[in-house]
Amino acid sequence: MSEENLITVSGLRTVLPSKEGREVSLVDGIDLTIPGGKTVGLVGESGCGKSMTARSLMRLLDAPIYIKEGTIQFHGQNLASLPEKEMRSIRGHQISMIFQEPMTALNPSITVGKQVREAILLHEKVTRREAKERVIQMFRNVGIPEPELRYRSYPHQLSGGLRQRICIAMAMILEPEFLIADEPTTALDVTVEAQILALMKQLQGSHKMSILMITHNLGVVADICDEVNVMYAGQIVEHADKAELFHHPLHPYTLGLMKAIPRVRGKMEGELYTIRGTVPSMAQMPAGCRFCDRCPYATEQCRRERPGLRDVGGGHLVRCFREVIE
Amino acid sequence: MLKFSVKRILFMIPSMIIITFLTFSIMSLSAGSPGSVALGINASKADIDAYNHEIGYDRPMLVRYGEYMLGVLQGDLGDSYKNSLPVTTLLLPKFPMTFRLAVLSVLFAALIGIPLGVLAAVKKGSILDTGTTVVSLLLASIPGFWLALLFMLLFSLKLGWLPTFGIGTWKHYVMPVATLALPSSAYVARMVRITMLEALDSDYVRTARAKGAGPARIIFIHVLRNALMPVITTLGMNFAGLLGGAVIAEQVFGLPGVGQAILTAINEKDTPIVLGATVVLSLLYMLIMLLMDLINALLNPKIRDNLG
Repeated sequence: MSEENLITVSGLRTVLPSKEGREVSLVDGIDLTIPGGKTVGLVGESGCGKSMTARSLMRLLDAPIYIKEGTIQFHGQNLASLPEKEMRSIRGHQISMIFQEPMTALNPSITVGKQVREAILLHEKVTRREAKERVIQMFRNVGIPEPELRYRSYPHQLSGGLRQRICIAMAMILEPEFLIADEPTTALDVTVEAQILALMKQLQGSHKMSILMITHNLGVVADICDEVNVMYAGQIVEHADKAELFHHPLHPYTLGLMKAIPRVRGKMEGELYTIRGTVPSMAQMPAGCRFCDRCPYATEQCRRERPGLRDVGGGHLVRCFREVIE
Repeated sequence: MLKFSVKRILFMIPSMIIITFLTFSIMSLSAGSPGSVALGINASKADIDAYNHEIGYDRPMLVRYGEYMLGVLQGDLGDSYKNSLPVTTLLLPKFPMTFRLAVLSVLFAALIGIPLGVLAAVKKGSILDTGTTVVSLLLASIPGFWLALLFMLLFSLKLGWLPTFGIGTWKHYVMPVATLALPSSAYVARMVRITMLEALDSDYVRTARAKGAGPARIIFIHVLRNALMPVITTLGMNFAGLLGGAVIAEQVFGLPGVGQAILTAINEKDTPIVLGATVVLSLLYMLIMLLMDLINALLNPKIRDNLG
């Protein structure tokens, strides 16, 4: 990772304070770097804190959740402590975000064209007419048929795939340097998913932006990412380049995720593998490794001590005591 | 939207038949007859029967109902039993007063309720929010007639600012309108607070924030319109209800409106007036509801599309 990093997150901790003074860490000391022009994956189960990480980066946290510790470096500024007003001028302009649910992410009573145009008008001094023309051009770029007509459509008149294209157009219209995509294809069917991912790759190529792709789908990671971070219970448990991670997954959790992918080729070996148990509640974490209750390799040491992230060579980081086993 | 309106207007026909038939039956089955109303309590049974026979009241109820409805279709709501004047002549002059009262009440209910509800939602958990909730609950729980009497006690008797009774100047309207508008405004405020909170919590607000929109823009451009849609229907129902149901305010403050006319007619068993008022008011109610749906359709593109 010798390239310039666009975003450097260090020790990010996002907490939900509770009444008794105890607080729950939703994101628990995350280090994350986003190299310029690359796509970084953030993978994990529901509730592991990946969306919370994304929203922390955008500073779109709903009170009383707040960033307690850590820094988010972006062009010499620390986004974690930037005043809200300055943050607002970055949002949608230099950093933008696509959400999971295209069905509800758009305002039902405003035409989609105006909603995208709003992004331009919020950040640039241009006439409405100019802005509209840019929106229509952008609609064309993201593959929306009949863009002039669609400009005047309301969200409910469009399919899920088209709506997600609108959201992408909205996020991309000001050519941000950094795009956060929070499960952008989860709500879509598989053929539409492939189209949307292809579109994102194409736009990334033409705009040279960095993407943080949040997903629970390793297929999406394989398709689009350069680097991968695996997240578990608010922490990053493994980080590697995509090829390295898929060829030499080290953390038992990553191994479990890979085994849980249904395969078309190869012989059927009974039921699909599942990782036993569920993610522990953020309020009641085990004393040792957070994964030990679900880990087939757990030892006495795992139950007592917390493993740190260690480098096993070549920037491959893993939060596990276990020696490399093939 | 035209198709929708026509359909809705056609649906009014069976509704009107049911409403008028029920009212007609109830009024016919209750004690007393036109003869007894017109001739007074001292009239003999023979005189009353002769009177009833003369105007055809001794015929079967269904026949009389049919005859009445034929008249209604031609704009004839029958004649009052009491003084034989046409119902339309007696009833129509009562409407402007009631209409004025209803318009003013709904207007003030909206002007007070909506901003309060919005503020309470935006400053959720603040003193303003709690205060609004408490005052709303209080106003919603106080019976109208009691509120009216309290107002009289304070503003008329103690302070001498406002007249207690009758019509004439704008001052006469202050207390009746307040009596009707304050409880509605409390209801509206609570409703707006809920719909606002719901809208503020929605995904599209998050999208707008992710675009870089500030709080004022989010409230006025993104949230308010979606939050106010259900409130419009409530205000419309409130207005329609007030047209017939401002009885208490009219009675307590001595305003000669429709509610008071109906109440008097029921007491005197002047069936044609009660029926006539029912026909006019239910028709108005249905038309107002249609209007509310059309307004909602204008505001909500989804409903607009569903209407075709």
